[in-house]
Amino acid sequence: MTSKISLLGWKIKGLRSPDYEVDLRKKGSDETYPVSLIQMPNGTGKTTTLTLLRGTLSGEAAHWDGKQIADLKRAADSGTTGQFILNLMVDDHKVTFELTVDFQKNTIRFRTTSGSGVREGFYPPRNIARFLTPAFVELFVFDGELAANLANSNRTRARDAIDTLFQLTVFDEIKTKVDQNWLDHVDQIGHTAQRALVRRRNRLAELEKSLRTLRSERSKLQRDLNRKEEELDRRNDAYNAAIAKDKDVGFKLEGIRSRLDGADSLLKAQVEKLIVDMRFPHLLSERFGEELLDLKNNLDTLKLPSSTSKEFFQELADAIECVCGREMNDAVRQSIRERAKLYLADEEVGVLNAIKTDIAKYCSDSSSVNFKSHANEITVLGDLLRARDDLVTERQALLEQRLAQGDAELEKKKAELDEANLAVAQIIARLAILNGTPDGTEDDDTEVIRALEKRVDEARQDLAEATFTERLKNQTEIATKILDEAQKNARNSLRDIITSQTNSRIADILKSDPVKLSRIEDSLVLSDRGGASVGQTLAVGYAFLSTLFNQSSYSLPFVVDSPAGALDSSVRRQAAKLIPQLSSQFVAFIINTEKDHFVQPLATAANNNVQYLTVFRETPTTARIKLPQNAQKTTNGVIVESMDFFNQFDVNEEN
Amino acid sequence: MDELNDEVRSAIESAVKKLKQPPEVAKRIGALLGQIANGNVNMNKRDEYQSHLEAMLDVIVVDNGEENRLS
Repeated sequence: MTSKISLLGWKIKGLRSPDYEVDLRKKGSDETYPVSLIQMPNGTGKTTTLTLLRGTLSGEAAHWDGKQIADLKRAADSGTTGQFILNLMVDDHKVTFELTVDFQKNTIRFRTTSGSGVREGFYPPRNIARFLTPAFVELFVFDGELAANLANSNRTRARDAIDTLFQLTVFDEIKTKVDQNWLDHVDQIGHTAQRALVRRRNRLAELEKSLRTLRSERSKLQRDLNRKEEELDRRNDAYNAAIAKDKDVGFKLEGIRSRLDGADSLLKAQVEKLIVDMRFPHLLSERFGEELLDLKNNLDTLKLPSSTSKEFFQELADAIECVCGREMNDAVRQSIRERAKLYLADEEVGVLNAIKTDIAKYCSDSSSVNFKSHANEITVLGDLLRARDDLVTERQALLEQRLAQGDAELEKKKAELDEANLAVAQIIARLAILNGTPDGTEDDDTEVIRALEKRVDEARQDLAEATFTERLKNQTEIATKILDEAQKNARNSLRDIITSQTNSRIADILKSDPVKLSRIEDSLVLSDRGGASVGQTLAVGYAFLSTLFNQSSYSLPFVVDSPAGALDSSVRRQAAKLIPQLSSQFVAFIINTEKDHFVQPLATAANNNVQYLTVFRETPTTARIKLPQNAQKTTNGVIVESMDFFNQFDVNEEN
Repeated sequence: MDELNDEVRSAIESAVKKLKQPPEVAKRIGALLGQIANGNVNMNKRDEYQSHLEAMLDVIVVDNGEENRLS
């Protein structure tokens, strides 16, 4: 069953935008235009409208604080209340959310009108309630930057988008409830039992709370680390640019940097080679090689391992006759089974033979030759390290010489660079503690996550044993593992499908200059992230959103602020062709300068089934504009529905 | 389960198989997710989800431990 949500229109009064009413329906019907373009000059209240749309559709406005409410107030307006009324069509039913702002009391009151009547509060119809949450509404009411942000590694919206759309977050909810179910059983028993149960229960709750806090801190630090490293790179570039102002020093530094890169590469290759070699004991010590050869020779002398294994005798004990032809009886069988234990198993014989083969293969040359060859490689590593360190020293001396020239800007850049280095180092140090390897001495206050996880497991087992709920606890843990695994599998397979479908769409919109979506992690990862332009990144974001919304069993409107702002003219045309496919209703807020190369291709792609609206405030500039007859004027604003007026309107900024 | 996406359904089935649980477990999880997707079960309302949860836990096989029926 497909659920369809359409925006019928909204009305704003007494808020930080001109008073106006938008009706997105075709005249005389409840059918909406597939594309509605609302042209509003900067400063007219686009941001306020978008904020109100998001806050009302998600019900979040009911929780706005005093500052957020004050931001809705029109400057120099003595009005004490404001109102935003949003009309929706959900399948065949009209739903109205009415939001009344009281600026004196700093409060917001919600009212919902639907088939069931008028109710105070936010009551979306049940079949669409899951879409009307803050996280979900952000996916279909967004500013033009969202699409580009989907490819920003510091934002996690791509993964969030998939999780939200396919409701993968429900797995987490079920896990929480399953665990709570076990704890409820524990509590039922605990109430009638001794105080020790309460202590166990509290200990588990404290440990789980600490674990959640530390995991959350780790996630935040990992995100911060990406951002701080980007900041460090920027400051490093700025510092290098400041140094290079002294051309002589800059030239020398560039030379050192290039040699340093080369020295680092050689060093890295040598370390990798030595790490592989270190797995061979005969290369680490001459004595190892000699002893290994002795071991093999002694095994050969003793003809070990013998070709007869434990399994041979075990099979023999089950036979009717012995290999010598004599009939077997129970006493003989028992004796053979007992003595079979003196022989090695097939597997053990195999391992010993493999060891002998390897010794013959690797240690047959003179051990001293092997060892000396490895020792030479270590000497080379030492030489490479010294060469690299000499270059570091040389660079440091040059930097100090440059700083000694007394350049205030350079000192500032150096201080900023040191600050960024320190910030990155602090995060890395903290992550090292959180990700540390437990040494067994940790207590309940440990900050080593793996140690704390183990203590949580122990505390759960302890509590389960004390309350005789082990079976339920084990069932709960198996259910949690299944849900974790299923969530991971579903996310991976949905990511693969969406990546492939997104790439097909990208090929359509970026025919001349395609870029590929490599994979979806927390964010979208482009195959050529460094080389992708803003327009390409944005187009990939649109293709991704379009793919997501075409997967689902429901139809939602798209409301976008500045859809073409960051696109160059050729990408604008291509994106415009894609937009009508995004959803059954596309509502865009645009300014005059975005129209070129965007509106016309969009209208063509939508078979000219486009509504053109222009909203502006009455100012000395706009007062001179000749209005068509159907213009609707309010006390402080004007709204005009006309394609010609839309195309001719050339006010960018309200003044 | 009709409302459940095919990929999600098959992900549940393969997880259940991997953890050596009977196919009935996948059916129960799928049924709960389907009811949530349909809007018939709200995970904020215990009276709506509890029976599904217990049905799911009840078919999970535990190799060891004492028999503790869900009350």
